[in-house]
Amino acid sequence: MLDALMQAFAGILTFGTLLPLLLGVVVGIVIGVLPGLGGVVGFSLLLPFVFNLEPSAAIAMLIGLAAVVPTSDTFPSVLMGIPGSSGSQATIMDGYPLARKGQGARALGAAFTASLMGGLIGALVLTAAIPIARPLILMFGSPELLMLAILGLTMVGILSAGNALRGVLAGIVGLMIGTIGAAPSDPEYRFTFDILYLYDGVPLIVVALGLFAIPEIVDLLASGRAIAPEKGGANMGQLMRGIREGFAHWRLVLRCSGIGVIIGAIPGLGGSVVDWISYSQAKATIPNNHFGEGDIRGVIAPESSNNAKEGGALLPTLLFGIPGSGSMAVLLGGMTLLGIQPGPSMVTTDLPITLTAIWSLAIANILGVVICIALAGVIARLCFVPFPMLAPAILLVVVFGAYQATRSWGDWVALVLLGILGWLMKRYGWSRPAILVGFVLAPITEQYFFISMSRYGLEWMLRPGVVIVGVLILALLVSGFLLSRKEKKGVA
Amino acid sequence: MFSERAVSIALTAVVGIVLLAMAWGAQDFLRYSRHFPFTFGLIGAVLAAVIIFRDLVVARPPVPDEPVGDAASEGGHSPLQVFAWFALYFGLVPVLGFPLATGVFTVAFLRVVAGAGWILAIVYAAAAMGFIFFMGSMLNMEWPTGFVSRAIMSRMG
Repeated sequence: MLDALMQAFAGILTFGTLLPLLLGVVVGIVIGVLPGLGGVVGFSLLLPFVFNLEPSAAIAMLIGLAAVVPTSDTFPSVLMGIPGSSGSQATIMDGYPLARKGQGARALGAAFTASLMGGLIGALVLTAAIPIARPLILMFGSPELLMLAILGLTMVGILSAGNALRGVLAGIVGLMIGTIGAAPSDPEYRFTFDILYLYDGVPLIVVALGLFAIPEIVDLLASGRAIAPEKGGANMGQLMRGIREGFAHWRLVLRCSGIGVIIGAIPGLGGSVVDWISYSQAKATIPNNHFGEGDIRGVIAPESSNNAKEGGALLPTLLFGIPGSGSMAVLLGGMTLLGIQPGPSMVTTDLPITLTAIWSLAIANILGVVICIALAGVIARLCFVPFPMLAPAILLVVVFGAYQATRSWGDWVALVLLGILGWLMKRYGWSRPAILVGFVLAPITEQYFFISMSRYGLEWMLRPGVVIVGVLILALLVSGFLLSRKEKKGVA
Repeated sequence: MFSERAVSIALTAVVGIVLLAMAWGAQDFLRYSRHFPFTFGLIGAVLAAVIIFRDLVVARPPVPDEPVGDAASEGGHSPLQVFAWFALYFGLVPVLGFPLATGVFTVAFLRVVAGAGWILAIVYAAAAMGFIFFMGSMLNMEWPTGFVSRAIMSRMG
């Protein structure tokens, strides 16, 4: 195995492989910076180029793209409060408040360091797990996936600490928005009112942009100031400070990367929740935190997990040919075009391809972070430009990102309506992340509940995996409750 | 003028009513599709009622009992004005088409709101339109056209 690993490393260091990898990284960085363009769009852009490449070079290019989207999507999340992709929603919670304090470069430094470590841990786990992953992944049936979805839903309470009732109500609003469209269990279209646009449900990116981007644009224009009214120090110094903090919180990085790898490796859960789960567990378990107000650990937690998740997501894609997400599905298509058949052969005859993918993941993470750090100081200066000057460009990016979802007018109508809802919720202290978590988890929860009940009846609750996740949920809820009680006592 | 507290309670009430209506509507769905929206819609409606009761009777108001302010901050614009600009943007699209509407909106916004000069506004708008055309060609996207752009295209044959 070690020899094969070294051979694959030597193979990737050739010009013919490194150049496509670099191209993938550059395209991935651009894709990540533009909200609405996720890995699926990126892969679709690169797929036409893979035909003329050697399989290892093509894999390097595609993995290079997938690896860095969760790194560069931090720019809009931190600097503008706009989710760059579905995996960077939770980064807004503390990254954006830091940017508003003039510490955007610090948040970016910490985020990129966490992304780097998360990405490398993902690659490491992928290497180690290949021989043993098969039985582990097969352990996760619908009941276990349902429990993981419920674990995500319990985060709603943690995310809305301080106004728990309204937080839970917001979560329910998200769940109900998530029920719009085709039902998972019956041939039924729900709450569509015969509007064609609603038949597939409201796209996640439109919900995220509406709830987060539009309210920020409105409020910043209402204030008439820059995103960061006062400078928080020299950008370079802050960037270095953030990088140091990223390394200093290595335990948190390790924990959240573990969560990222596990969630990423489970097909069907999707990467959209991994950042929220990491963020919420960090919030529930770190004492004396100021999550939501610009705590650097609130940036490190989601950023390490969303990069690590890519390593995890490659496991079912390579070993079973089961894509864990939309972008992995396109990657799978690319591999098929190259004549590579994912499955058990990936650890036997096609092992060199698998190892190339792992090395590509690691090297792309390093390249991506180096490029992002080089750009961070300059891009962070945008925070100090008067917002009315930035607003048309940001609005264009938001409108463009929303239109990408289904390329219809419905995207813009939904964007504006959700923008008004998001603005009202922001103004009256409702938890917008709770809506988003509810929305993301609604179809997953309903689908796996239906399958679990149909297949196992009530006995699904007795499965060992279900009990383990159930205990984990209880432990998180209790620790969150105890922490908030302790903090309240401390304040009193 | 309504107080912040009154608007907050009204928002909760509207959310509760919508959730109740969704739960009610869910009863018409097929067997397995009904349970999830019905259950959560009902729980949400009850929760909204509890929150309103708590805000009105039991606990302190969730938000300061101050009049709703629509006045802009110093140097800024009121939220209603901002939404009016959004409406103008989206209103221009069916007339001019997306790329041209973006250009016109950008120039108008930068001149009126940001106080930018003509040259900066025009260069900025050109860059915005360039971005649209570039991304459109890269991603093979067709942007919404307006009747003005359609008329121009038909004249050009």
